[in-house]
Amino acid sequence: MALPASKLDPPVNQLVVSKSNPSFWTSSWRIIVKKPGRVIGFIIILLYIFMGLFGPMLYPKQLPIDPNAIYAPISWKYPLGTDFEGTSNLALVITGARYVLFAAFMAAIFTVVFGTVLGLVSGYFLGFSDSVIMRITDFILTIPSFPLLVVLSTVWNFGQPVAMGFVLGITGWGGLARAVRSQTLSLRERGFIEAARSLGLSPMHILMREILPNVGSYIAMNLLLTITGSIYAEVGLFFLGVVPFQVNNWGVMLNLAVFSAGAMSSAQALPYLLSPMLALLILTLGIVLFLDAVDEMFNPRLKEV
Amino acid sequence: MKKVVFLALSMVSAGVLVAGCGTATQAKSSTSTTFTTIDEYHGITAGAPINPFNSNGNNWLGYDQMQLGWFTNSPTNPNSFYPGLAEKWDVSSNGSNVTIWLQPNAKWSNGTPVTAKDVKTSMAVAFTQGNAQSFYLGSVKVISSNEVQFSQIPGQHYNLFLNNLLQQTIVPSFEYEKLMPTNIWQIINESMYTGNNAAKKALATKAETDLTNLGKTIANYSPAKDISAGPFVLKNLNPGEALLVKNPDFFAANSIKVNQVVFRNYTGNQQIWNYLIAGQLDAAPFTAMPTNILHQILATKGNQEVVSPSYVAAALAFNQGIYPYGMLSVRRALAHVIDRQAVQKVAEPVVGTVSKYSDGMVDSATSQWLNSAQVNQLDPYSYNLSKATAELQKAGFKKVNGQWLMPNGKPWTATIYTVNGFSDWIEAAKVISSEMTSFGIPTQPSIVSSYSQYLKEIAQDKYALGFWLNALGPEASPTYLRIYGANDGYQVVGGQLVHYPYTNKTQGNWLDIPSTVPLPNGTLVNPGKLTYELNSLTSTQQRPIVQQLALATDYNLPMITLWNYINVQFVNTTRFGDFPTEPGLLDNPPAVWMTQGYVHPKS
Repeated sequence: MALPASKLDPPVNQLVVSKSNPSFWTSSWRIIVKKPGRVIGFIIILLYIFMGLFGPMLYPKQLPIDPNAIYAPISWKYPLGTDFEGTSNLALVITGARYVLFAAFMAAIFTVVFGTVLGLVSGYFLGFSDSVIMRITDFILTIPSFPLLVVLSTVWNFGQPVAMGFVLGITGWGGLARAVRSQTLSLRERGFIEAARSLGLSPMHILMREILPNVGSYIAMNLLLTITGSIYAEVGLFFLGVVPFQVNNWGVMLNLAVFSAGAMSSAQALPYLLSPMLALLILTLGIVLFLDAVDEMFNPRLKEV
Repeated sequence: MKKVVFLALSMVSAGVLVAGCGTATQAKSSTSTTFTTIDEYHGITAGAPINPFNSNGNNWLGYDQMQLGWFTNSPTNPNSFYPGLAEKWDVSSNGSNVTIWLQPNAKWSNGTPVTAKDVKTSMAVAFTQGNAQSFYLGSVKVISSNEVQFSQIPGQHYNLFLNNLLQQTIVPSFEYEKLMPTNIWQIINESMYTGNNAAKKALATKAETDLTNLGKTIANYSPAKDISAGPFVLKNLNPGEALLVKNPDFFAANSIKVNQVVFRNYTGNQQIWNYLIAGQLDAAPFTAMPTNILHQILATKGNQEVVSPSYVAAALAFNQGIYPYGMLSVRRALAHVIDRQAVQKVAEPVVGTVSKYSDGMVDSATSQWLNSAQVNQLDPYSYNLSKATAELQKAGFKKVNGQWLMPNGKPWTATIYTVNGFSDWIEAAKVISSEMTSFGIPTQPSIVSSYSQYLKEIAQDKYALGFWLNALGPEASPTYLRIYGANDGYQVVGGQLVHYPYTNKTQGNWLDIPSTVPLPNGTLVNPGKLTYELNSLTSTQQRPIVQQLALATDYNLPMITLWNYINVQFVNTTRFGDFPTEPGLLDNPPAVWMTQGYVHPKS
């Protein structure tokens, strides 16, 4: 006599998410505070989110310029020095965070949504849909995305971060789709999925409630890594000068520091170069430190332990 | 990279703007007579032909690429030249005929004499490159082995005929004649037909096509080795540098005290800055840079800054066909809103000076063309927000909640267009945007991806406000053609001046300046017609016209001149001395200095 599917191989998420267990937020908090590195990463990410949300509100819409303080050194008045027109580099970094972070976040969302949905569908249903989706995925993976972005930037106005995020996202989901498909292929042969199918549960239920939670940690980590990758890509585009000029964009700052201010040859302009680089470095550090916590938050097996 | 300056100076063949440097090649241990420099026009392209007509050709003007003469960059005397391969020249009274006599000892680096035949062949080549047509060259007649006579196309009286003629590149006939058909002059003559005979017109069209195709063939031609009539000849070349050695057959070889010249490669300004900071360049042409880099360069032992005039300026141009910039009060108000001192200090602190006036010329030309009474009539449009406010209120603008509303009731916002890579324009656009926004006109800079796209779109009336190079001198005619030429709809068709209106979207009239504009005293003048007349007049005849154009331009403000470029070069006096100080000579390549007897190695 066959046993119920749940007795054979109970879905992991059903073990983890139960009313008696602490809420997701409570358990997440416990996971974060477990290690100091995670706390530091969490604080850094919160700081950047704060910068993105409220940074532009801290300064006047038109940042003041001072032609008498061009490339001014680091001081109390200018904690990160000034730029080519005497504007505070700190103000530029803070007010520029919104576009950079929002575009990167949108890119990550697009990547994760496209990559996850197509990977799940492809890996679970196989057959014709798998063939079609994987051929499209192969096509996306074959395209050299950064050169494509450079070309697209000549015909597309990237003035809005959503547009930038969308383009970064649609050129970057291929790898995630492949990975999710591989994991789905593995999971679909597991006993609890077979049991779920035997119980007549719908494919949507199986994909969303049985398989997705088991690839959740991978997707969450990918989300964060895509954010950093997207930031580098968009900053790179701005650095090349192929997208609309915004003086407080980190890539534009790098471009002007190198090609106009002589930061590679003169120490005077070095703060102008280092300010956006520091912003990128700290953000990457925060995300890397926080990844460890994300893995544990979204991986049912680690939680179980 | 401040490409704009490179572009500017290339366009006027003045001095130099360079962009950057290149390889990581280490400096060779130089002998005391090895002169190290960079080329003002391009870096080194290994594999490119040794052909001056190739866009990446490995030839260097003044060193192994020679002209009949070298200009003195004079705004009021365009026929003032230093001798080149031509020892002397004679111009007919109406300027239509020129006779040149070659240097008696002029030879190519293989020992063959430079002859009149070489000059004639070079002019045929100039037709294939489209150069000879631009100065209305009609015929070339060899009088003797060292004497050549040139005539303009009958009916033309182009006053820069000699100026352009002397600046044509002379190449050896034995190398380039074989690339052209034997009936090349017949083709050239056929191409010049401008009458109404259908058969001849068809022949002319075919001839023009033949010349164009021939031009491509010649530009791609790769001679086996460098044949130079200049002071140097190419010995070897790698991606990092090119080595030229003294040409013993050069007609003035005794004046040349430099044995070798090394050209360093570069790809950006930063590399030039680094070469200069390291004290590796004995001479460096115009290179845009910020003040901090200038200070570092000048701190290097032996480095000296050499400044000479440059006849180029940067301006903010208005498309008067786009509301509200057709209103004179609006243009004047903006001239008072823009603090040109701040703009120049941020955008072009080293190689620019604040423009005093917006009369269409650089200030040094203004002082030569206008008398003091006329200069006093020019409005300097000083930074004055009160005057700006008064101008706008006079025109019906209102300021509500800190933002200006146009007479039609709509908020006034603006976008200033500039070009990717033109960092001085970009920085200036940013400063002006800040100033206009603070004044109540929300403004943002916008960067167009390439200069070609910028030119295309500005001609399509897509930009109300855009940066523009003006005052492209030194001669008066090209100076004002930047404003009242094709960009204002004025073109010469079949020898006649034609004006295409702003409504004609195919002929490039984007400035939309009224056909008649008032002078400060109320007299109406037609600036397009006056500018056209400059083409065929002597300097003396030009003077009253230039004065009218200057006054009209400053009064009506088709564009606000922001800064004048200055030709800042560098020399290093550690290894060489006796550098020239004459401004006209300094605007030529160092090899021309050497030909004139300057630049001696230090013992």
